[in-house]
Amino acid sequence: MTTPGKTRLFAEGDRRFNCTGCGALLPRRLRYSKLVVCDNCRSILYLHSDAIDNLGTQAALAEHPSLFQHHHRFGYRNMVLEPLGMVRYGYGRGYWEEWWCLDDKGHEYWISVDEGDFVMEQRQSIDTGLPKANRLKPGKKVTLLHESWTVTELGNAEFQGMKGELPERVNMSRRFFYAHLERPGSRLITLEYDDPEGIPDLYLGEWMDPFEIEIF
Amino acid sequence: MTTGMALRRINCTQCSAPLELHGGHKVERIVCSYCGSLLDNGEGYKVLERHYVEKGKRSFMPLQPGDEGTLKGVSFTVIGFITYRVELESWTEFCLFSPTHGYAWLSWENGHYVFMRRLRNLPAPSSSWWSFQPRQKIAQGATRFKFYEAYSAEITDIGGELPWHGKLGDRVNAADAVAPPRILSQEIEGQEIEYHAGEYLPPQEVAEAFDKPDIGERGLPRSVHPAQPYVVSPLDLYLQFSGRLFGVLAFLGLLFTLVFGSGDVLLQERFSWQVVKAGDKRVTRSFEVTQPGRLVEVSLGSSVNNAWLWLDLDVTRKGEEVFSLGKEISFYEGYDGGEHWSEGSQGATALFRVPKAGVYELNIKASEWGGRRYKSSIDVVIAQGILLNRWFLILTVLLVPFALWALARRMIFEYRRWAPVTQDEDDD
Repeated sequence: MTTPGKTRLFAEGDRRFNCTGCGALLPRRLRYSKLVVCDNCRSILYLHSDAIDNLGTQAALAEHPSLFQHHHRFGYRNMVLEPLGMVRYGYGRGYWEEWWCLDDKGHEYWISVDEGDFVMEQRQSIDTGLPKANRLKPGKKVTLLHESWTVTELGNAEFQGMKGELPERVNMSRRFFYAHLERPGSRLITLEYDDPEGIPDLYLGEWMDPFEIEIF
Repeated sequence: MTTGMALRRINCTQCSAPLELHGGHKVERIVCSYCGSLLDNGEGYKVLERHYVEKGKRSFMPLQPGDEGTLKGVSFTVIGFITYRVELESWTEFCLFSPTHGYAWLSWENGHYVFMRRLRNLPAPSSSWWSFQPRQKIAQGATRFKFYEAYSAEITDIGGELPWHGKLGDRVNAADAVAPPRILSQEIEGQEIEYHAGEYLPPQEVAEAFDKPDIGERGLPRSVHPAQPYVVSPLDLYLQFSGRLFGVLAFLGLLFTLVFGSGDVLLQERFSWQVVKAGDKRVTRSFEVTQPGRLVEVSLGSSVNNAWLWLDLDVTRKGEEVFSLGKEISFYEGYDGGEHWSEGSQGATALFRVPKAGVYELNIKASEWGGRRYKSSIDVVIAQGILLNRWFLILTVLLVPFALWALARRMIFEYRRWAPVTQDEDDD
């Protein structure tokens, strides 16, 4: 059965998908994914309902050394996580990567990696009491989640590319303003503003020690 | 774990010399190793300053930019260095870069090495430690550190690539706390406080990590580093173990002789002065020894005061002399400047063995005397089965230093660790 404008390419029984660009079989781990990059033709596929949109292809993403590899599970303290996908954002002179990981219970984590600086965060469903972007200054104290946080970094970033699978659709031309807020105990909040006047996405997490990451 | 990183090359914007870059995008400053120009990585390698130490004019450095090594299981490349000075002391911090684990520092001071990394989990207290006293407690996670010192260091040399924006002559305010082999370093710049956590590395480990035998041969550690752990040598352990084992045995022997070594009394009698001073005639008493081969002790007691007397003693069996000696008892006392003094003793002991069990005779006579109160009765006690405790006592005393050897060495080591900061405190 085919929906007009959308391609339904999986059978109800095994839920396997094929790339709409080249027909290659896509990974099985699609229970949580919404966006998939075909390893074969680099088509970006958006999955919704029971159909797939082909959003086009992306240029080959430059390979950089990374502790994380696609689908290579790793341990951190008492957690076991599997990286399913990665988005790379450029900022200033460099870039950082955000790895979308799942633990054994299906909990989602975003781990950002920037030259040895690792932060593990989870998105929080909060849309009230969040500061406007122009209210943030380095060193300013901000109360969020009933705690006081210090703004430590502000900057602009832009989407550079992705690979693997992601749980949400990503705007390929995304540019956004971000803010890092910290408090003692290595805890950290990231606010991402796609609209400087709008409500940011809030990610709550903590710094990770890369020397404690164990690749299986 | 890590993969190789791409080597980048640029030409110095001052002298056009080819420079190899090993760092990542967080590098802020690059020093041309040929002309000594300081370049700004964020401004198209714009020349910021030019009076840095030129290549080949530095004294020995164990590592150079471009050197590669594996520390804590991670491959690092040395990308730069900063040399600091506080008064007459100076040290160099080598900047290390791993594409997967980021930036770290390897501090080199007096032949000692400390591997430092940025610390995100702040210690408590996390405010400035500038006014802390040596050994003041600082907690970081489950580790308790002791404050060591605060200092203001001047940058005297930099080279290579650095994820940092300083320059020659800048001063850095910092403070250290130690829990060997770990060290916490607090750096204060304006309103910002940064922390680094370090771990002392034996020079051999660094030499092997970077395949630099020179590190082991030149610049061996001098003095004690604040974060240097005390390492007990096998010899120290052996001496301590032996000292404790044999010391305990000697002490048990001492206790045994004290409890069971006083023997069985065979004769106990007081002889008056008139009896013991009686011309050529000796006083004779019989006693029976039942434990031949074991020590027999004759104890003599008197009340001589500021006087002396000489006693002749013989032990015979069936008229044959078994043991003979002369024993002086001498005791003097008085006051000098209001303080009491005394010397000598009012008693004496003698030990002997008899060849076989049986009845023996003790003959005693005072043969000479002098002084004020020499006319004293003599108390004689003869006991058999005496166990001497003096040898166990000497052995115990001799073994105590060995038992405490490692502890003493550790105390000396700790004294040397803390002396530079506690002496400063005393001087203040």
